[in-house]
Amino acid sequence: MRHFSYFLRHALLAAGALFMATPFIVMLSTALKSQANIFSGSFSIIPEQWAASGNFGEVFTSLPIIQFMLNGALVTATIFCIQVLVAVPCAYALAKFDFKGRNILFNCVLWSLLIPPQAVAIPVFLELHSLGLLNSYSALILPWTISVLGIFLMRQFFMAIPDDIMDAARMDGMGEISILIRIMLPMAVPALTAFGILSFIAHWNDFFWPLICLQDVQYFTPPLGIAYFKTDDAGIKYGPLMAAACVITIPLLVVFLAARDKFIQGVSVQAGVK
Amino acid sequence: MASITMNTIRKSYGPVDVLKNISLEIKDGEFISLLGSSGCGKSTLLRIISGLEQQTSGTLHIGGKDMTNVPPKQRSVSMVFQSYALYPHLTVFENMAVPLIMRTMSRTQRFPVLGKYIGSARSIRKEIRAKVLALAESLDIHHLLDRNPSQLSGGQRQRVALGRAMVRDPEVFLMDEPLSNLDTKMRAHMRTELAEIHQKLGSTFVYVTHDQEEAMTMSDRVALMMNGQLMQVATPREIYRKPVHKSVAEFIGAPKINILSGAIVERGVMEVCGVRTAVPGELQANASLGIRPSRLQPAPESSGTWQAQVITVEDMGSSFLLHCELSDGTRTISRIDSRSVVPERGANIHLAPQADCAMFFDANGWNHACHPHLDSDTLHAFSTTPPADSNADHAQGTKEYALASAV
Repeated sequence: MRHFSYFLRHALLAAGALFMATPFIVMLSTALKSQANIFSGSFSIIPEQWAASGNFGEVFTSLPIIQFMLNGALVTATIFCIQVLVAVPCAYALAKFDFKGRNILFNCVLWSLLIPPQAVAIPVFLELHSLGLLNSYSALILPWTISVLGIFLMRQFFMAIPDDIMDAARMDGMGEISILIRIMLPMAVPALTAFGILSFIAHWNDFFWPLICLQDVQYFTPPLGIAYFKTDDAGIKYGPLMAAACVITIPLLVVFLAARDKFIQGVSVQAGVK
Repeated sequence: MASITMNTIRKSYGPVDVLKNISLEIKDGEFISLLGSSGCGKSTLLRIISGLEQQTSGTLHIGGKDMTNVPPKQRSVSMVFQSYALYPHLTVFENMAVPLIMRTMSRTQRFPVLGKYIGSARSIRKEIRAKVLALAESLDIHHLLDRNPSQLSGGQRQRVALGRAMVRDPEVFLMDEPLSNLDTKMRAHMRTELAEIHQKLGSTFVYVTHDQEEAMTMSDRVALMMNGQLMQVATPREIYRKPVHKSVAEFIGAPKINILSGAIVERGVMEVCGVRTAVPGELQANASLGIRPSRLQPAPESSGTWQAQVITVEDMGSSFLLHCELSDGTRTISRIDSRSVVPERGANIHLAPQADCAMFFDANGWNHACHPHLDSDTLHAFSTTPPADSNADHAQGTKEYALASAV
């Protein structure tokens, strides 16, 4: 009986994992197939006609994919840096200072979490238009510099740091800024890493906002860039499209694997304090 | 070195008064304990001395200088926290070096990488290193310097926290229940160690604790706090023998003092559970008698003894605790020597108080011997505890307190 429930649990988990992984498997498989193979009547995971070099070759020859990836890196890195600069002091104040209206302010932060970015897309678009910033890196970066999620995550983390540590720092001769930089920030590295990964994935993968605010190909981020394969006059070239999708997934994998331990530490908020 | 003078310090959070008019003079080099149960305001008072908390009113002087509005980093005061509050991301060495780095190096010299090229930053760092190493050696933590606090045991963390407090030679040490997270054996060990450190440094120590044993064994004076007020500030000896109030008598001493309520049957005579005793004439109705467990002993029946039934007997090793019930239902505790004959549970015995050690409290709980409204002659006459040692105490014990069945 125990063996059966053990088997059942794992079968369920495996089915779930397979369901989640299927799109990726199909993506990888399609990237390796020739156009004819993709459109043949039968479907197989293992390609019957291999065209890996052709598909991947086309990604790098017919598209400025490197430019797209550099754009993506620049935009996500800048967004994350500014988000940290804003979120950490905000979160510190919300977590550790006792001032009038703190709870109201924090509630505002929580309510902002509920607003979907699509809902405010048009007003933000108009605002950027009136500032003359559309179709630029600024248009990609500015709307995301204040991360409500970041403030919330960091606030929760700072709440878990005992007040005694800050008092000890004050006794040791630190001012509030020193406490923030020398004590709170280093202690918050796991939380920052977790937030960094979330932020990086969200903005690297973002398709909606770049599509709205950009016209020039030179600013395109990876997802927007590879969508170009679709509008080619020869119709949709699924092979190269999926190959490009594979290529732009690689940085995500690398970043996640590199920061995996810290990410898991950071998601469980208490970690790192004691 | 520095004395601390607090003058009418008050602290309130909204309508709640946490500290009510605290005035206390702490002498230079003194070891004073702020003793009290949780919530009595002792930690708040400590935080006011440290500067982490600002008093609502009143003044504070440290070493003769007005520190009322001075931030903590400008006070020559360091603090050891109950949770040790070590920086978890720094090694032991770095933890101990922080106070020196923050106080001896300029902002630019502290800047990462580039800072060491500015001014004499390198030589300062070298001095800091030497100082931390020497201190670590004396605290016996030199082999731990490269570890993180999470890799240390409770006792080791305690030493590191002490080291961090000692490294910049402050004039005043503040300690907020520093031993309460240690196991019993380690606590006893650190207690003697702290006392030695105090003697060696000669600095002023202010030690907050709820543990009367710690307060009594280490301190020069104990300041007992209740409900945001100082009840009594005295040497451990005096606070034990001459508590000003019933609540002080009940707080100090383990097991707890026996408080027996009595009735004043005529002026100067109180009847406690059927036994009459001479008391100071000023005592009015609702007075009570306090007697320490070690001074309430089994005795042959006489006119001055209480009849009692033994409820339980606790073997403490060096002594026995006898829980008894008097004929009127009052519970008492006696501590008797382990070599004496120990009564069985349920036995009917007689208990005799050692008369010269009894304390009398008036209806408001004040100790009559210490009551301010008594003139000095009366005080002297009724003094139960002359300041000399305990033998003299017995010899001099004033006969006015002798218990008698008929006066």
